[in-house]
Amino acid sequence: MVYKFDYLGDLCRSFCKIIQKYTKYIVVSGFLVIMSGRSRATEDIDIIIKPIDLNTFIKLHKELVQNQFQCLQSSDPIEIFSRYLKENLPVRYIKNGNFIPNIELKFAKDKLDEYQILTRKKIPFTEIDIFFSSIEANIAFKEELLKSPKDLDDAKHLRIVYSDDLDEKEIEKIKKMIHKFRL
Amino acid sequence: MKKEMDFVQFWAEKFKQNPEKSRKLLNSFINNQILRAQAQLKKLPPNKLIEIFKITNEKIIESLFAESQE
Repeated sequence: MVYKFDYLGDLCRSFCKIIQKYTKYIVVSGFLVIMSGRSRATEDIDIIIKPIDLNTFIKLHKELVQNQFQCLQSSDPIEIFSRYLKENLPVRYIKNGNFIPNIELKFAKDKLDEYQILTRKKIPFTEIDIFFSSIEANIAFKEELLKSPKDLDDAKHLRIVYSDDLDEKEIEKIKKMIHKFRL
Repeated sequence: MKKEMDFVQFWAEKFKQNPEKSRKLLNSFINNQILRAQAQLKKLPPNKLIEIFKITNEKIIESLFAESQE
């Protein structure tokens, strides 16, 4: 059966549509790989945002709740902000009471995250109008930091699908940044 | 010696050649997986869901127990 709707895409679009009113965001990792055609399962969509202050977050959270999103950690935006996001801990949002798929949200925590937000891109091949971290950044993270069999297969998939457009120097540059900031 | 098929490479190349057709198949596969996972989760008691998803939102916890009583 071929579904007309797109569970992951719809969830991501509705979340990003709200987030973009308050700050810059990037969608990273598995969701980009799946939207680029990789046939594998995922339970969540990872989103990194440029840090915002408490008052802005309260407004953002309120709009998310008005659009049927709930945070698994707390319904109090002050608690979500101070106990999690500000401490660089991720939080998860679900929509319409469904635990899968969910959104993992976190603040950019270092220069590497800031760089990814600075170089964010829309990627027409994915057919979804949202900002992703660059293909090069995703390959670099998967090959240099994450390195699980699933991540290495993800990187391989991205290398094949985007083989005509890849900037190898950029991948190497980000790998060096990973060593500097994360390893 | 039989050459082992590299599914990642096979599928990536197939997708690149015909993204429109492959995306329909892929969406169907992903949506089916999500629906199946959601159905399985509905069978779990609240405590298991709280443990799996590390839920600390009291409103969600309350509603999970209320639903399980129905």
